[in-house]
Amino acid sequence: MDHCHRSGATGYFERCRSRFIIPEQARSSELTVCEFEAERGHIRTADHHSRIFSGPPPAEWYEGLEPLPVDDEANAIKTALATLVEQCSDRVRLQYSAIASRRVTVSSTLSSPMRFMSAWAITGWLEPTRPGATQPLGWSGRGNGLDWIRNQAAEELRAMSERLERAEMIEPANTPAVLSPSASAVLLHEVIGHSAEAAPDCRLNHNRHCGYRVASEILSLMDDPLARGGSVNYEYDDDNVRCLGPTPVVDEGIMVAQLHSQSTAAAAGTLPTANGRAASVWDLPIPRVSNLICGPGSRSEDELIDGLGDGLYIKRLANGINNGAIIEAEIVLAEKIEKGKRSGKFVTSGHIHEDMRVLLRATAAADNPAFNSNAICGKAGQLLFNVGTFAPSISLSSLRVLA
Amino acid sequence: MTKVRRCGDGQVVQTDLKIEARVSDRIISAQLISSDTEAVADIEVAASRTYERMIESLPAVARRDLLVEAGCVEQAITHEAKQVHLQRSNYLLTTCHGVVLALADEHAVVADSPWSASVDADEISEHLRVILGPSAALALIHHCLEIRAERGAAFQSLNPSISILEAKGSPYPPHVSPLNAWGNLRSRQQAGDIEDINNLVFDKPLHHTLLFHPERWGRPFAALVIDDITSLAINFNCSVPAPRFGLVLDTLTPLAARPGEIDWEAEFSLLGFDAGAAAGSAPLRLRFDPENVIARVCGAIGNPVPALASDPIAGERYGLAPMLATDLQAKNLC
Repeated sequence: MDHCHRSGATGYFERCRSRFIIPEQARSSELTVCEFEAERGHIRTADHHSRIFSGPPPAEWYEGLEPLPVDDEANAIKTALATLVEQCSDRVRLQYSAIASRRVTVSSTLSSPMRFMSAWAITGWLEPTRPGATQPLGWSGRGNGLDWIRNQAAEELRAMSERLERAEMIEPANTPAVLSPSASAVLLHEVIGHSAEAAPDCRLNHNRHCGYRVASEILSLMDDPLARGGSVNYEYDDDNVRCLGPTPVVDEGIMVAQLHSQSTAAAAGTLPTANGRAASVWDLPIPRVSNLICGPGSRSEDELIDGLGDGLYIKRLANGINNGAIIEAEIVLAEKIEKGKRSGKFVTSGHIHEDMRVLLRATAAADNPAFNSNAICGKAGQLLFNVGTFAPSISLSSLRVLA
Repeated sequence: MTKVRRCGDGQVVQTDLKIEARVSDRIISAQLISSDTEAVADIEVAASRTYERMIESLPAVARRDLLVEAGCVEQAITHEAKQVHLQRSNYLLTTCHGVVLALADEHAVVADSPWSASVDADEISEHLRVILGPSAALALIHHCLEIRAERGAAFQSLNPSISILEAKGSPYPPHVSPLNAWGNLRSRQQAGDIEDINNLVFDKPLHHTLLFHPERWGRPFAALVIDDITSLAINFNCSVPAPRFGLVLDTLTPLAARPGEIDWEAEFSLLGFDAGAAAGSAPLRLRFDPENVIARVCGAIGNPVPALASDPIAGERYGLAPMLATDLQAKNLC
């Protein structure tokens, strides 16, 4: 490939630093620090020839990927993590990952401003004393996460651990439910977010959901890369498309737009929506949600629970999947609602199994929206740290729960 | 240093990477740097020539899945400014329909198409025996490990005849850790050839996997439990002859991440179709509990061969697995 010739080609270049702090063994507070630095790039021509390489961009393409800000807190993070693990004896495993990256996208006509992002994630599992009830853990955020580890992690783990110790195994049921903001975020992300993302394969139909009812009329959502406090914040996407404002996605339950990268927008004969995102410059940008924002309702969460009678309060979901027809997610922790009150009786180790119409059963949203605490999302082999969802508690007239 | 040329479905990808890693007690660091060398011409020739020859021999439904990759990998270990290990290997990988048709350590191998025709799902007889192709077997085991590891459950209880080992290396050369050479270095140390290489000791494959998977540097580690598995070697302790007729699941993609019965997508082939094998024209949608399928495996057909499990989230994972015969019939899964 003649990469000196830029006509019709696009260059994606990145300087990044990754940090992983990983237990020596499965149940160990002895941690190893792995640090990786990379300059890397990807030049793709209009006829789909790609050159993927390590090292700086060719001079004729771009000069001067700026250095990354210094982050010398590896030892502080390692110490804080080790303390956290020790507090939970050998019943928890935590892995820490973080990335800081400067990227630039250069085409034959445009060069975007340099973009900077930094994000962290902690994944792992927590094992209550009862066998067979191990639960997945996951948190993420912007920056390097040290403040969260020092100030919030211990309390979150303690509260979850204490409730899981008391929890009974869930029983299958079709039950009315109220989802906490974090559980609502998982469901909205799977049902609305992934349906709104245009298919990365340009040969597929990109407008398959537009004009259809995907939720009850109480729900309206938009995608906003610049949302304040969002899991991600960018003005230009990885295709070099500038965000001109939020994209309305669902209006009173009707899907009104698809989220596009540059290539899927071209295939669909529409404009891109600044949703072309890539896990690294070696990956091609594909349509991904930035921050999915669900407007709040007018009632409190307690009022939603009060109006439910008997049912479930779903506190925490994990491992959500949308396979195109079915929505599933593991129920890490839920609480029985009895006579309109949270009963203090916790249940765990089940999953929700629903079709794409589950949000048609949404009856109310609360006034307590919050960003999801775990914004990790994988699609098409690309795992992102930062796919945000801002969601309130939502009540559902019925939710299919399996053991 | 890795140089790769990959051809498939109208796309050509040329990869040119150099990783410089430093390993010491409880700290691993690495850098991606410029390889400072030109592309190797024979890699390009090997990939494009093999692609052109293979594409003609495939049934039309399989052609868009053909992928040919030629590459060379050079690995060196330096200790106290002295190079103590150097290895250079070439390879040629051909995959189609999820099947590794050939993975050879030279550039001149061209595989034969295993399919002579194509077939639609409605032509599958419900009485056909189900056979797991190597890639499907690998994907099935990966899924079970992902689910069971999180719950600390023992795996071998499912089928005592199956063996699942974490291999030191990988059949895919770019995923082979240079630190696998450690055993050789220790021998040389004992022979007095080199001294004091204890700083090189770092026998935690968990961390090594990151060193030679730079594509994982930009994503959360172990968001998938099996991120810390290097490569699996699967085998079964008794062999059975290849059947004349059968439904071969070439690939398996789980559509949920939990224990129990879930939906799967599978590329498939039929054995005994017009006296040959026929490639399925579109993936099957199946529903089964993977642990039940593993429990019903009754024999290996042939030796373990390179296999490739492509996960929609995790990406590509290579391993070794034989074709596995089961006593299930198509109607049990479809």
